[in-house]
Amino acid sequence: MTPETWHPDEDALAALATGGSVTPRVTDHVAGCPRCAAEVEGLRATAELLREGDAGLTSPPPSVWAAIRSALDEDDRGSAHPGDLPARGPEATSSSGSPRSHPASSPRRGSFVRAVSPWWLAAAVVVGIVLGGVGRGWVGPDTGTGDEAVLAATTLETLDDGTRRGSADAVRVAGGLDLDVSTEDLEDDGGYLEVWLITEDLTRMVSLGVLRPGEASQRFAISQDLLDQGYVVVDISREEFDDQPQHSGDSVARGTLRL
Amino acid sequence: MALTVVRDSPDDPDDLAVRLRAGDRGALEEAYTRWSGLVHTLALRSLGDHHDAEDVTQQVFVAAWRGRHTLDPDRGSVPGWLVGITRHRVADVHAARARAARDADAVAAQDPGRAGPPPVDDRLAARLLLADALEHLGEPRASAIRLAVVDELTHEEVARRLDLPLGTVKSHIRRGLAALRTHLEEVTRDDA
Repeated sequence: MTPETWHPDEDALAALATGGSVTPRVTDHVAGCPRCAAEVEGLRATAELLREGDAGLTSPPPSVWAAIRSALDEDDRGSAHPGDLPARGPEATSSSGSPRSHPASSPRRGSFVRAVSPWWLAAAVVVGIVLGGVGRGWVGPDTGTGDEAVLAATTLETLDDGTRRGSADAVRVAGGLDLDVSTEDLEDDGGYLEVWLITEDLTRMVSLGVLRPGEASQRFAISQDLLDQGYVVVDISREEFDDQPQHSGDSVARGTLRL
Repeated sequence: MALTVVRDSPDDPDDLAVRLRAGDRGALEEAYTRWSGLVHTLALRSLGDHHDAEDVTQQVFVAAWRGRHTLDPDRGSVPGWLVGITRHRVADVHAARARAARDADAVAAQDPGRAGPPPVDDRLAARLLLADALEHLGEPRASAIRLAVVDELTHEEVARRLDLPLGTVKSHIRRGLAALRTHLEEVTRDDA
């Protein structure tokens, strides 16, 4: 064994990392060997964190598990199939609702503001970031027409491949704000298309209304309050004529307004 | 990026991971029993608010269930995976708070105390994960690590206290530390 190929055994490196006794040969080698030095450093960092220790863990109250179970039970009953596709639309559940006020409450079907499932949120955040970049490019001071001023805009794109399906502008009009939604090539598949505003932290959503079939552009009344509270994700879902007032989970286009 | 197979726990987390992936609700309940304290404590310390921490804990386990197909037993442990989800949820709450603060202060002067969301504390996540992993390292390995690393006894002293040969003790320390380090890598590697 030549000096060039010799490395201390792992016990020796672990000893060095934990303050154990090692021979000078080991110390000298590690000082000049990046590989062994990295190994020792990794073990030393682990040892340091272990030494810092921790004062102990705080368990969540039982209501949290009850809320989780309730959310999963709702998944089982719901029409959506959560978990299969992280990039799918909002699910037909109120899974991330507040466990503190309703630890095991049944889903708030029909409520106007609904909770959105975490998995969907992650996907939407990604989409929002991508679309945000697109939207910002064409929000400008010269986009206003007449007395109207565009406060924010976004393209609406499909979730799976980012195909452009339209655009949405938040427009200041006399007496308030409108959301001007232009769409193209959206299929309702025998159902209808519903427009939603969703918070960017993706915890709540509001239904703005239904798109008239065949109409290229349509306006919905919104409010500054909504935007201020973070409802800036514009989402169009495909809905069926059923007894499920909540978002179907089938998002056909989406974009995030940049204020 | 370091990808390390974690297969050094007597708890057999692989089995739990496999069952969880396969859609076994009992596996989720076991994971909750075992790691809800870890998740909740990380959220609580990061957010400083019981309600937010409980919300995050709930979201993490619901997300874990719905995203169970993303759990790759070859890529990391169940607790490392849960901590990763937790850190994203915690970051979401911080971002929402920052936005709320920005909206509230839109006109007022910038409050220096709210310069932006603090990063999720990597060190805290790693420390909690390691403390938890040490608890379940199995004996006498956990004791060897505690005595040698936490109490900083010499390996000879550890061997005497545990009444084990010095070579055995060294091996336990080396293997235990290496197993624990993989948890550290789970927290610090790419999780964007």
